Amino acid sequence: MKEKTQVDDIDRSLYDFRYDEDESEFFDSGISDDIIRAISDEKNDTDWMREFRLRSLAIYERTKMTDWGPSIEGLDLDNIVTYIRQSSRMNTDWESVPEDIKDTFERLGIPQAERESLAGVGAQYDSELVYHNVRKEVAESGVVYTDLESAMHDPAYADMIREHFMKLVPPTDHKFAALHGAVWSGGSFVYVPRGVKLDIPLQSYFRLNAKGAGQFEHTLIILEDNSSLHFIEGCSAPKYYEAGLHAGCVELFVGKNAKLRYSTIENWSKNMYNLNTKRALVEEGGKVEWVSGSFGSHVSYLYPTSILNGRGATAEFTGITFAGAGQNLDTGAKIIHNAPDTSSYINTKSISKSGGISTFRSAVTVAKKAEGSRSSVSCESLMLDDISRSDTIPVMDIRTDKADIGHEAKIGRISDEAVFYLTSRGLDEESARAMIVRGFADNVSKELPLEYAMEMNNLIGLEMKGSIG
Amino acid sequence: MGKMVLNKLPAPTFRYIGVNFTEREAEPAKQAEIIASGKAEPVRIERNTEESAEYNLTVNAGERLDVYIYSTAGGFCDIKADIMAGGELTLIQVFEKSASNISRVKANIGDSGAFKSVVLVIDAQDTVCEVDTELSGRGARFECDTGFVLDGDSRADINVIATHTGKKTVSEITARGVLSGRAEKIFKGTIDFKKGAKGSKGTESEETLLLNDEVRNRTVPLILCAEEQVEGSHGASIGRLDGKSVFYMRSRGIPEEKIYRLLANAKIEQILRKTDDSQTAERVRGAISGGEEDG
Repeated sequence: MKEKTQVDDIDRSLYDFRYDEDESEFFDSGISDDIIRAISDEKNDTDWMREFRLRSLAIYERTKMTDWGPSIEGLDLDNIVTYIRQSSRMNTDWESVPEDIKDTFERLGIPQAERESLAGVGAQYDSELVYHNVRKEVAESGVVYTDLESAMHDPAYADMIREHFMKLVPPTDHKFAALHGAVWSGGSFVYVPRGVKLDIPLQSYFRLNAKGAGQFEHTLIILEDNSSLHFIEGCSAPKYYEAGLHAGCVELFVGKNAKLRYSTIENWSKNMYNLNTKRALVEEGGKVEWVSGSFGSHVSYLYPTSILNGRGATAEFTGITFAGAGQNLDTGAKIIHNAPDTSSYINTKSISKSGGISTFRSAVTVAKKAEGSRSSVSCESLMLDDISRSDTIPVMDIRTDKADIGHEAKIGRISDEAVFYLTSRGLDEESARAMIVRGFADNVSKELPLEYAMEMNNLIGLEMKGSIG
Repeated sequence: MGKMVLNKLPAPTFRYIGVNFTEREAEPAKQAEIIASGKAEPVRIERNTEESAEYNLTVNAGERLDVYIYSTAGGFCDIKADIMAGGELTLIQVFEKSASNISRVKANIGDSGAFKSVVLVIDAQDTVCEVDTELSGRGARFECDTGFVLDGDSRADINVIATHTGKKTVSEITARGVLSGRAEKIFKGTIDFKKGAKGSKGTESEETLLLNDEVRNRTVPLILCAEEQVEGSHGASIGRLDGKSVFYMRSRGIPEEKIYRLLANAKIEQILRKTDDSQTAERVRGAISGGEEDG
């Protein structure tokens, strides 16, 4: 008899474990002047940062919630704890990290990855960075990879950070950018000097362990001219019934002829609201490559933005979104062509299954001065059953005649002919459908680091199990 | 006269792009005119006053109706169309050198019915046009061609919606045209597959030529899908003429300005050929060549 399996959810046992926290370390839930001042005191903020946080809070209070995306009604900001004090400070020695936190990251494979294939690792647990380390030879080349707060107090980088912090994503951008400006905590600072090319990646891993909490890390990366870097960001959390919030912010400054690849595998648990903002400014001849896999969270709003600000600057966005039961993932990209001869390429795939909602949303803007620019957008969606939903909402706003803009979108299902062909070659139907979905996602998975590509293929296999009734 | 919200995008997006809806001053007509199928000749309506008008078009089962509306003076035109089983409606709207046009079409297509809509905007100053069609009957077909030639300070905001609720329904949305001077155009095309519209197909395509760096073109092609057994696709190409075409025509002695105008006309001709109506074709060609003399 044919085995019929039913998997209600991705097997998240790898991520779905947690440790009890000392709730006396939690700040009060909600957002107020007093909480913001307490965070500033805790972090020994400089005067300008203290003022910045309070100014952001004022903007937050007067800014309306967005009215065009998935519903975030289930998120009660008065119940979110915005800051959790860690019992220990940031370490550069893995052995000094507290045992429960160390065990969390060991189970996620972070130290092993550091030993085998990374130039440096950062690990954030709830509100604070708990570990940061960079290989000796990488540090000697002048690369700085540390936690943002330490760097902010370091005279060597304080001015540089003040000059760049929330300049690409100002608190006025939207309500959650304002919230981030007020309560941000943790995150990484990376500085790559002129001409330095890092061959192996740096990785930051964000883990939100506490229930009913928010994570608001800030990642600031500055690449000087002719440098290059691959930065990997991973996120996960155990599953709770209380809503969690991730409102991080990523600001990337890519110098002339510099190249930055920013890869993200987001696998938050399905109680999370992922309202993250990512933006890159690319100077003449520079290139930013976003590789983005969205598998987790209950609701996502995620549109990495590339501002092509110098002649010949380039942006590429490669993304995959897999929305399963209980998920509403609104993802895509924004590109702003703001200089001549710039080019952009967006290539995305989305898959919806078991009642999941996947929306591809994009905006390509070509300014009048961006003569000779080119843009190509391609998005494909696959519906795996008739209880799910898949929408594509792209926009192109072109203000010069000297540009070439192309767009194509497709939506459909797995063709019966393809399944028939594979089953006639001896595959059972479930394996045939899983193979077709893997093939559909192939051009995205090949852009991912190997271990993530394998993980993505496993996730697809698990999701497809039980898809034949 | 009150402000009316028009051309709402079925699924709104980033506010800063400014395409979620538009507002204009308009007031409904005092009385609706009923036009039914079963006429030997097409119905031709000359709208040469700014007065609001409302037309209720009824296409009875198995019959056809052809309606041509030429707007030269602007105003608000509200059209409701009911196409019954096996009925066929052709609705051609031409907006010529008028000041401010608002047109709103709400149509429903029954089993095996067909609705062919053509919208041509030739240098009209300000045009807001919506064609919102529900393909509710099994095997209903909807074809919507939009052509635009906009120059000077002209602007057009066009919103075409194909809502597939019936099984095996087919929609095809196309937009073609050219922008020059300081013209602005928004084209929003939505294919919306509702749950239960099994076996349906929707395609959408846009080709827009931009002839001046003062123009602004916004393209918003949506595919919304709540049904597995459907196929939807969209393709768009926006920008200047490809270098090879320009080189070829130049080598035949045609000056560059003329090349652009020729190719712009070719885009509208593609639509005119499909309408197969010499009266409309002559009129539109006249309007375009008038634009050339002015330009």
